[in-house]
Amino acid sequence: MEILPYVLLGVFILALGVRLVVQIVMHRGAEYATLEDRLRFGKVLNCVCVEADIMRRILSRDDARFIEGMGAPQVRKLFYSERKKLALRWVLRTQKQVSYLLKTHLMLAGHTSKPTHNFDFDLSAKYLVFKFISSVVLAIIWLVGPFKASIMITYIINSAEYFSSIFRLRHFDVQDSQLASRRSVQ
Amino acid sequence: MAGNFLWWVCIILEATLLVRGFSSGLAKKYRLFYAYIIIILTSEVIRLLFYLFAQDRYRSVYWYTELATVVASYAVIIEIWHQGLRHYPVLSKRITLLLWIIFAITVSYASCSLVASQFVLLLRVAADLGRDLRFVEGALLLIMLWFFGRHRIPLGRNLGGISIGAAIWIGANVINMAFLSLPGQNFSKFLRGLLPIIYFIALVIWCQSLWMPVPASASRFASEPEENLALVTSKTRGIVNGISYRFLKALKQ
Repeated sequence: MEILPYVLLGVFILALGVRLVVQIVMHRGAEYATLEDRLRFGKVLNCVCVEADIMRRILSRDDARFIEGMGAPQVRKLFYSERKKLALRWVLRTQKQVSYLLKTHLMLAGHTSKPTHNFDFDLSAKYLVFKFISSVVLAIIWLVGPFKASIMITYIINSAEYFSSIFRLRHFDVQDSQLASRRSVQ
Repeated sequence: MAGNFLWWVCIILEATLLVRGFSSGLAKKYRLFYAYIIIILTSEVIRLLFYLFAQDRYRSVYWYTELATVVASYAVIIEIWHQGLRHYPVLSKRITLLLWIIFAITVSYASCSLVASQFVLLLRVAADLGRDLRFVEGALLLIMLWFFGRHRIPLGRNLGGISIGAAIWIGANVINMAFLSLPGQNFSKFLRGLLPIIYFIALVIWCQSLWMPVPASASRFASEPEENLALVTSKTRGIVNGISYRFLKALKQ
């Protein structure tokens, strides 16, 4: 048992060495960020910000209050059902977008002139927390609807905006001249 | 017989690596790595001479040369970190400083053991320091490989080859060192037998990746806009020539 940590250390080194071989030989630069990645990164960033803002308005309680007071039962049912579907789709989409942004954020780290002193550890930890809570939020929205889970929705919106602000800094740091187009990498 | 043959092959490969390194100019760029190869080659030759002519002193010579090569391989880890992070000078400086501090702590720890034994167990302390340094190196290499992989830092063919060779060699060494404490086991014997083959593989990787200088992908990326510009210029020139030709033809008609 005493030698187990050392054996594991050696095995992990060999495994990461093999991973490096795969990265260099198989991908031949495909793992590195390209100009297209940066452009798509910017587009997705804008999407996340705009969608978060729109969802804040769509899922606000004002519309629900109006429908509660004025609408017929069928209209109310339709309204809640549509908002629920919309909220579920949006949370799923935000999860995917943040995941993509984090991956590209780390890929672009190799092209930034400003090093990340804390190695993006805290960002990765926050992302894991976000992923866990957003999965819980999905279940809650599915069970009780978006209007009864407004605190959770607010958390997702705030998190999306927080991640966007962090990722935007990386987007600004990376220079286009440091990246090649995908055509030249392939 | 096969062991001796492998020993000679490794010496030839090390010499080839050095000759290619100095002729291609890579030795200037990766000074610490080539210094490591020189130390290994010198150690191998010294060991071979003692093995052939003074076998009674071979054991002590082995451990001292082993310590020298382990210290030199620590320098290779510093080299990989330094070269890998060459585009991030602030981070590179801090990590290099941290690596030297870790090295100083490890050596101080071993020196304390030496003082405690009143310089009697010099050979034992050298062996222990070699082992401790190897484990520290292993941990640093693990962090480095994880860090470079996670942040997709482009290493290029040369530095990538050095890193892969070091990972294979140090990884196998760490496992072997761990199993050295169980000398009676069959697996321990098997590993010790396997180690020269793994070193041979690492040398082949180093020779193959360091045969000629290859710029890291970052510099290739940087030249791309110029290439695009040249392409656009030639295309535009072709279009203008075509229009002029047609215009002149129309005028003649």
